[in-house]
Amino acid sequence: MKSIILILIAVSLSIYQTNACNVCGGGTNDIAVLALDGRMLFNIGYTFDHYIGSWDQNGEWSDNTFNTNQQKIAAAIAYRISRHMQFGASLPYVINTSNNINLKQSGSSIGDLSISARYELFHEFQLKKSGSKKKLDKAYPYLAFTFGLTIPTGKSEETALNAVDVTGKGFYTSSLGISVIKSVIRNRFQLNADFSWQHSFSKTYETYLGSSASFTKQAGDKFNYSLSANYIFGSEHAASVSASGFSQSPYSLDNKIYDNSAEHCINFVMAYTYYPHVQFRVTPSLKWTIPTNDFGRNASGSTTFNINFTYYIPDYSIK
Amino acid sequence: MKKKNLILFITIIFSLIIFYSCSNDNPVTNDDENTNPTYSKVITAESGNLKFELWSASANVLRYGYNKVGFKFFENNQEKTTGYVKYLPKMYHWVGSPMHTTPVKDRYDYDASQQLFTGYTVYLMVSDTSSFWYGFYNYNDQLNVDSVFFNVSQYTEAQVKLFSDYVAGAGYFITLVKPYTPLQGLNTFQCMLHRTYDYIYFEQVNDAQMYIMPWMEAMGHGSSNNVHPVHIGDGIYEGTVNFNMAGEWTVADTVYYQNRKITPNNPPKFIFNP
Repeated sequence: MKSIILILIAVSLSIYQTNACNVCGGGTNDIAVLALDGRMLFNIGYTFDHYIGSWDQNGEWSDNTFNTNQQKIAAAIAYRISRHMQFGASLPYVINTSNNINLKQSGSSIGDLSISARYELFHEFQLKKSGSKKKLDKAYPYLAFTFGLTIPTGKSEETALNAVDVTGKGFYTSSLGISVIKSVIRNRFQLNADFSWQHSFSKTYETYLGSSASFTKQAGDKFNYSLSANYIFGSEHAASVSASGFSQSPYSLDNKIYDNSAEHCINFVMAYTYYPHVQFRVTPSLKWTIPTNDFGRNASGSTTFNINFTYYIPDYSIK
Repeated sequence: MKKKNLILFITIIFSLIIFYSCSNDNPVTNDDENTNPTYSKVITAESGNLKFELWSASANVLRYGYNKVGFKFFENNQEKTTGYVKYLPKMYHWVGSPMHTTPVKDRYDYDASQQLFTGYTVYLMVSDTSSFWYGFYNYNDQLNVDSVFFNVSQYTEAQVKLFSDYVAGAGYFITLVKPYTPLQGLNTFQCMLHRTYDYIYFEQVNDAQMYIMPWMEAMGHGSSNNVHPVHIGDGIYEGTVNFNMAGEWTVADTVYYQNRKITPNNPPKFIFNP
């Protein structure tokens, strides 16, 4: 059961892969997270993102006229080097489709490479010394500091000829964050909070979607958040609900800041995890937005189905 | 794997897949605004035995920006179907202030299919309590009806952008012809370019090079598959703009004339809300 709990912790964190409004680059990309007894993790994920509309600068919602979808097949790996430190990486293959009959309707290529690290200061329910005895600590939550770097390996607006060919941001981003988990009822019910600050580096464009261009753009800094509640039904089933989103400051173009371009968005995720085996889990999830006014600003809304197949290699000797 | 667990798992997966099967398959097509072949009479200008009628295919009034117009001319109640018409609108403000005109077609030739002398006018200003339009009509450089008062109405969808070419000392006007009601996706983009040195005579410029850049300023992105406008005749430049998302878009139009950029570094921008 302890292993299940630890895996659930990882699952609750990995739910973040259904990024907040990921068309706008939200989320922390913490796909691969190991529990304390895990040495190594492999994950294959499939995501189907259906864009349904967008919020304008006044927060007014508009439906999309065209069907625009994005599918991702992502491979992720994580490796724990100590009880406090683990690293992860994820690389997606991205397939975009659109039903606009006047334009190219599909495009695909490798997406952006994400590298992550996590320093875990505390784990829950660890043994601690109390005088000459050891007893189980019930006070400390799980607490980790997270680090992320996105490398623009995908096809960006600079290199793609059509919007449907764009599979990456085209610029580097870095992130710093914090992740907290606290069990309300041990082995049964947990609360999880993730926060991160994401910085985007500037990018100079010489071409833009097939046209010549000459401008430098820098996306605004972004604050990502996710709040989750996880319920464990037993040794084989668990479920979680999350509310996540982001708030991003205005971008700059040739050092001019566009004041009306700040973004924010909130969405919701429902996930279920099934454990055919202690080391293997399957996690389908559904992310949705509320397509009405004031649930976002300068952002796209999408509905996302995601399924992850995760296998981890345990190592009970990790101290 | 226990059977009941397997059933539960499969049920959830299929529920999610079915949820995604609901989709919209209705691509949009562009409309034909401002190219409506149906004209309606908006002005009658008479003097003695001469009568000019001004017809518009854009609206049932004359309005700010581009107007697709036609004329009928009658002498002794006899309609003329040959020759040409010339038309010069003049705007007067308060006493002592300079008069200016507005871009119009140099000469309106007879179109038998429309039974009109057809062309366009571009009104740069609307009528108000201190701004008055008067029309000066001419047939074959011989017969005139002058100083006929008329009104020009505001039309918020119409757009005319002014910029100055400081090297040549000229003022330029780019007039939007279409789209007035843009749609998400590809839209035909048409505009006209006129040059003036004195705001009395406006020259239709047919040999400029235009480079458009649609940009969603609030979102910070552009779009693909745009086609730069080229002159297609009768003063109209035509290209394609792609508004791939709902919301406010700007379309910056950088203009070169005789291989020299004549627009400022911050080029004139049309604003659209598909």
